[in-house]
Amino acid sequence: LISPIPIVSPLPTQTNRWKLIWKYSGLAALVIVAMWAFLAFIGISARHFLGLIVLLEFPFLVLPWIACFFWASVYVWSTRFPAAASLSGNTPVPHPARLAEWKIVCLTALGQIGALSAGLLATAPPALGFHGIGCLKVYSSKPSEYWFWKGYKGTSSEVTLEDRIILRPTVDSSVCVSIPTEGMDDPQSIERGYLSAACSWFGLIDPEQWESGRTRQIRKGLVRLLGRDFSSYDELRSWWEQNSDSLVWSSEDQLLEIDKTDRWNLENPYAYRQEHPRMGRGVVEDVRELGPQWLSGWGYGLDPAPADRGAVLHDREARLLGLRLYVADSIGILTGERQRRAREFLRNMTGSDFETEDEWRKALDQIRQTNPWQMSRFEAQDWVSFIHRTRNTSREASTLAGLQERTGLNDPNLEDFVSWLENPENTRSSDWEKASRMVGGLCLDDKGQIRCPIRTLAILKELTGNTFDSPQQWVQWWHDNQGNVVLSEDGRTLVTKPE
Amino acid sequence: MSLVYAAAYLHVAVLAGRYSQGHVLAALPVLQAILIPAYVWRKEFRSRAEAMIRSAAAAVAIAGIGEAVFLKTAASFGGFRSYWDSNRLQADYVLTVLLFAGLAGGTALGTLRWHVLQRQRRVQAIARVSDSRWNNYLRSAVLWIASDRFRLANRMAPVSRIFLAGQLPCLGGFIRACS
Repeated sequence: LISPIPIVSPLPTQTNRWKLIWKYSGLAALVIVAMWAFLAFIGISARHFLGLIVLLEFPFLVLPWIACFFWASVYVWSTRFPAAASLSGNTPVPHPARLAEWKIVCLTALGQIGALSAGLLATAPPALGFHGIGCLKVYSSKPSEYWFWKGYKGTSSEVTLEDRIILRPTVDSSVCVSIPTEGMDDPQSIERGYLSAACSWFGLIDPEQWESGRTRQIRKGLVRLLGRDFSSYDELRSWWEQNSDSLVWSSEDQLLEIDKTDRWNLENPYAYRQEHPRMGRGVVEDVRELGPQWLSGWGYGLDPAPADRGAVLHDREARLLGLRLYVADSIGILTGERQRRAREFLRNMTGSDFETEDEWRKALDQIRQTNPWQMSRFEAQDWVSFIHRTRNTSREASTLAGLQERTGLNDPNLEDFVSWLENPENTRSSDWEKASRMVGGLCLDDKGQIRCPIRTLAILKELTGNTFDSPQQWVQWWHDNQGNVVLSEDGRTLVTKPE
Repeated sequence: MSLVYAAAYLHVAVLAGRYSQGHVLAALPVLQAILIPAYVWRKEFRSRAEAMIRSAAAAVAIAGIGEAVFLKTAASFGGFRSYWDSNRLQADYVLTVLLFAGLAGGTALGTLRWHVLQRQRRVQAIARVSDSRWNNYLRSAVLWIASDRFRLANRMAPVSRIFLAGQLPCLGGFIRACS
């Protein structure tokens, strides 16, 4: 409606440019106001709240009008007036002083370089300037993440900005991690980072591909951190299960080593645990546990975006392995195998069988206050430390009373409790917690909750693009394709590799 | 230079399966570099200002048309359902480059064309330049698209990022004042 204005209202013979600019931009303003009034009328007559919003937006009409004014200006200034045209038709046009052509070319080259710089800057978050070119996601993290990437798959770039390091992991250089330099060389940060890296390397190993080229590379990554290799996956696994919770960073050897500290004779076990936290889950296990739902928006009709769970989830290799394990677990849910195993575990723990989740929960609640389910290994360590500290002091009696109440034993001496506390069979509260989490997984009343057949089936369909409904079809499909599925290009679904 | 733009684009963008859209976006600066000289070189202008303005406007209009085509055809390529998904294509990079490179290149081409026309003394043949309603409408429309492109520039993430980053504080103030 605005572009035809000069056609509808052609150039007058006698006028100056500014008058014409105001005339055209004034007509454009009329068009804008007419459109605004039309929309407001439609909205109000339909009694839609948008009508009110349109009404309130009147002051903002100045924004499109600025564009109209600019348009009118360039239109008029690019137009040769009839009077001038008739004059120049008969009279040679004087040659004004002009810029040398080589200068124009040079200026253009500079302009083009400026355009490239502006374009690249457009891809960077404001705070990072040119250092953030291509960064789609920036998040702050702790120094341990820096060491994690050092020990895991490395960084593609690192820049120090004042008191922060901006790094990009090699697994996805569109992610920028901002890490404070303060505390960077702190042994705790190094230990945490390298422990996570070792855990993530371990999770990437496919037991059936132990001798493959990729597994050899992964093993090299582990050797760099642990200082030793293993002859088979079974050997690695048994070593890992036995020692992974005891690994600490040795700044002398620059390796993760098995801690030789006697944790049952520590002055302050709590402080020690804060200093040397237990190894967390690796990314493969994270993805396995949550499935594709770690992508925010997944399953809600939205295109999923990576949730704020760290750049490691951008690691396609880990994501593929995690999702493959998730599919295998999910098929176990569809066939009922997982529920059967959960029931067996719970039956062994409670010594009974029940029909409803409420009954299972009540049974678990009943045994919660009995040993060995009430005390954790950490609590036992704290008690042992307490025994050592309160022995032969005025607090000895209260410690003894507390221990008798907590353990249900009637031993008269504090020392008698130590062997009981050190026995892992007496401190199984983690098993009770595991059992408590498993009750939901029995799916006795499946209303579409997580890790139950209805929801699992829907997720599997969306994740793989298959439309099977029966568990047998899924079992058959997985049997035929489990070695053949790969991550889709966008990294959100599993697709079958073409033969 | 347009090939450098395209190469830089393919370096910063994460195509993640959206190869068609990514390659179309990468091709836009190249297309601008081919179309605008071709357009300017067959055009007769009657003044230096007209040559500069119309050449620059045509080049900038490519950014507007490119953006519209990109948005309107998004659904044909699977659509975008989140900002994350569309941001990965780095369309802002291409639009910024088209805007600024179009402005710089278009203005220079218009000036050079004007010099050529002067040398050929075609300025004497102004009467031959078509002033038909259709041509005037086209001129007005191209200028409008270019003007609107500038208006939308303050909404473009890249421009706001540039100014927020303090790289061009003066222009930043101008843009903020306008918005």
